[in-house]
Amino acid sequence: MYRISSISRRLLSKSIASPKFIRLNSTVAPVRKTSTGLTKEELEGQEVAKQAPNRDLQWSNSQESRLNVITRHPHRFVQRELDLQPRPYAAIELIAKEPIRYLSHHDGNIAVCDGNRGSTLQGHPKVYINLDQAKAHPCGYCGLRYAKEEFKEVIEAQEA
Amino acid sequence: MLRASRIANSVRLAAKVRPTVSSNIPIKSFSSVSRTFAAHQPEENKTFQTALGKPAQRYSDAPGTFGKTTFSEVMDEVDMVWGKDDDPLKVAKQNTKIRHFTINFGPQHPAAHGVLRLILELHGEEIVRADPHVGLLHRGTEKLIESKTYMQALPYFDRLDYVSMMTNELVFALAVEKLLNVEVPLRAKYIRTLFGEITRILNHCMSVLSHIMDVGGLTPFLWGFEEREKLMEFYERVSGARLHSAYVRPGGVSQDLPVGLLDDIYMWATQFGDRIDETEELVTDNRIWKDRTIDVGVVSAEDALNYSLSGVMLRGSGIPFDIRKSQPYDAYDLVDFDVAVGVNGDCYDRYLIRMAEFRQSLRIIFQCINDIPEGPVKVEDFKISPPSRSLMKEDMEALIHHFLLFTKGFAVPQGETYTAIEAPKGEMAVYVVSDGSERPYRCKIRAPGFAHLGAFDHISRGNLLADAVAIIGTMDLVFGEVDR
Amino acid sequence: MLRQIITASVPKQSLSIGASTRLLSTGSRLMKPAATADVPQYLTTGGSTQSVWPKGFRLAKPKTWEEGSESALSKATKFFFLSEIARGMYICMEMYFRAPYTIYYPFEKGPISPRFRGEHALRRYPSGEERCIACKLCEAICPAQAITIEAEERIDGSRRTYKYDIDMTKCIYCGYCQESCPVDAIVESPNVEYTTATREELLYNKEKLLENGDKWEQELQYCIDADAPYR
Repeated sequence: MYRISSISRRLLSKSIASPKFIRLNSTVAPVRKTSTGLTKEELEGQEVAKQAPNRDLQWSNSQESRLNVITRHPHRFVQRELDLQPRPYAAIELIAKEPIRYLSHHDGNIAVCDGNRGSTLQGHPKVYINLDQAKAHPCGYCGLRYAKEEFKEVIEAQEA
Repeated sequence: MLRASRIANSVRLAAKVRPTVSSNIPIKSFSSVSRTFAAHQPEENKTFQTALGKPAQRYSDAPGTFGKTTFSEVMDEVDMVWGKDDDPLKVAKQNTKIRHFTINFGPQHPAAHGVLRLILELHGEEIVRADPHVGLLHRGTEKLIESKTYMQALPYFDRLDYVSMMTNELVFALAVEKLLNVEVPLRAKYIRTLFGEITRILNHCMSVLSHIMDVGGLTPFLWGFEEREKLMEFYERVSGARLHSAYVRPGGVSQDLPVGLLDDIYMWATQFGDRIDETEELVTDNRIWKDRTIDVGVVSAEDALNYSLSGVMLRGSGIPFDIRKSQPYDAYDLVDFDVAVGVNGDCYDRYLIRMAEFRQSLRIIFQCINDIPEGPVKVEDFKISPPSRSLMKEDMEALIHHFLLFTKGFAVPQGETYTAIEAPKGEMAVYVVSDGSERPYRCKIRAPGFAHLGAFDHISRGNLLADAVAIIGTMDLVFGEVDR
Repeated sequence: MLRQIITASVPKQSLSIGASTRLLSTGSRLMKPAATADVPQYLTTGGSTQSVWPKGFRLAKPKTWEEGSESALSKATKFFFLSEIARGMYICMEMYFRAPYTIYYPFEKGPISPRFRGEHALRRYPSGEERCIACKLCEAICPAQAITIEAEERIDGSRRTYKYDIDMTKCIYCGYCQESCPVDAIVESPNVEYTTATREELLYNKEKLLENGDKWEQELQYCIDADAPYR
């Protein structure tokens, strides 16, 4: 027992001794600090800080940016897997990909949208959209865009 | 030698003390020694009178041939003379008075059926006084209902008597329909009756079998709970939730029965008779059960009426009263069933009545399954019940009604109503006061368990401690409704 | 056609030997029904003319030991050989040989219907757009006020929420939000296995609900398809 303790004492003295020498001589002191990994600088470029997998920023003016939420309440996210936090796809991007539906001349002026109800009644209340103007009119409920056939080139030119 | 002289001395001392005390005050002599030396004064028969000038209440009948056999009878005599106290002038005697053993049949007790704090004063094993303290489950239901619309208030009623959910909703729905002055379609009435009887079976499965469990028979409880599981599966298929269904609404029923449900209820009903038979075989003729429940918790018919007991407690004492027969609601006047009435008013009779009610409920269920007509399940007035979703997505008027019903709610004309139904536990009623707006002004809930618990003191005097358990079980107490 | 037969319960059996003399008094235990004499048709109980006692309502006088049909031998046999208890035990033995009802959760689960109300989810259209249009019907109807909504115009001009919280600890799972939603956005999935380790995780916000919806979309579609004809 005595022998083991003397060995351990020597080892201890070695580890304690070495940093002292280094600190006394150097001018730049690399401070080793720990971090939660949840500060703004550390999260800035990461995937988890993006608002959605298909969009980086918010889509509404009062919407809290994900980066802000995490960095303002880091205590809620310590010891949690950040990439397991829910982060659904942004609807604004997805609906933008949906093609504009053009109505031919004999369909008339008004588009009827009921959200593709089908037989199981899962659309939205029927709305009637007036298509007089030369732009793509989105349905208020489902966001599908409608326009008259004759304005097709104008609209495509605008979007380009 | 010394002892004899000591005894002689004490006798002489007593003789010396006695004449001064016995001058003016009447003495109730308790020991034989004092009796020999005391001048026995005839006590003035001073009967105690309450503030209203009435004599003290007796808790037992006049003693019979064997004299006073129970302590209640002794206490009655004391009460008749001195009221609740002993002679206040005999301070010395009071200080040596033996007090009764008071126990807390407390809130955490497996046989206390929820949260019941029952303070029992016992003389040995015999109950001298019982004092139930309720309110441990008080959730402020009636106050919260005042700030909600009628549709939002419905889930509160589910949670009152939480073993028989649809009957609670039914009483509210009936009261509001009375105020609205609408009549639900026939199919809705049949569905409500069907599920009302399913609820009655659910409730009796719980109450009778947990009564049996409290008394000691642990087996039928689990058999009955398997039946409850099957019934809760029916609840879930029709409404979406096994327990608190929010299905029976003012204006009918929320959704139609899914296809295939009636077949499954029929198949369940064909085997349920055997399940009741199994339980009865185990319990009804059992000598232990009979010893525990015959002549226990006897309620006379007069007492039952005076204490506003209802339902099985009333019918057990011989009064043939059932609201389903006397003021039929829903489809109860279209189905054929009997009402069991007891003779002796003890726990055994009430148990037998509940067993008979199982079978009668089964009879009603068969008739409902056979007779249920086609048709709508809701009042077709969109100002009261919401339109179907397909119509709501098509028609502008339906959409507007849908919107108004789910935000503002339906307005109920001004008025007040007391509507009672024969809930499985007794007479459940609600007194709805409406001021013409969409929110109930006041909903007072009359729960049967509350009245039954109020009579507990009267019923349990003279019974032993183990009988308190049997009496609590036979009163069907569920604290969701007692405390609200 | 109403037949009002009021059946009486089984008459009290003769007291077994072990009965105690706890009878308070046999005097006035029952209010003597007035049907002994000729009851006029209007005398009722319960305020209804329907519940008139039929003829023969009164029970026969219980038989004394000498009048009874059961012989002493049979009574003694029942007493000493515990016959009714043996019958009960036979029933228990029957139950022993039946298949048990127990299911082996989590490998076997009980049946669930399409109407089952479990964890909430926010759905999307097939195009990917969120269904919720911030009409706040669900917030208005929720009896427990568990839903909190804040809405604003999105950058592309459509009406959507930017905050949709459901406090699952307040929610009573009544299904009213599902019923009230005009676009089938908020629904209750058949999921009940969503236990969490902390209470904060049960306060669902919009991201969590939308993700739920994406995860459960197939199931939700099936449930709504099955239940749509009834709603």
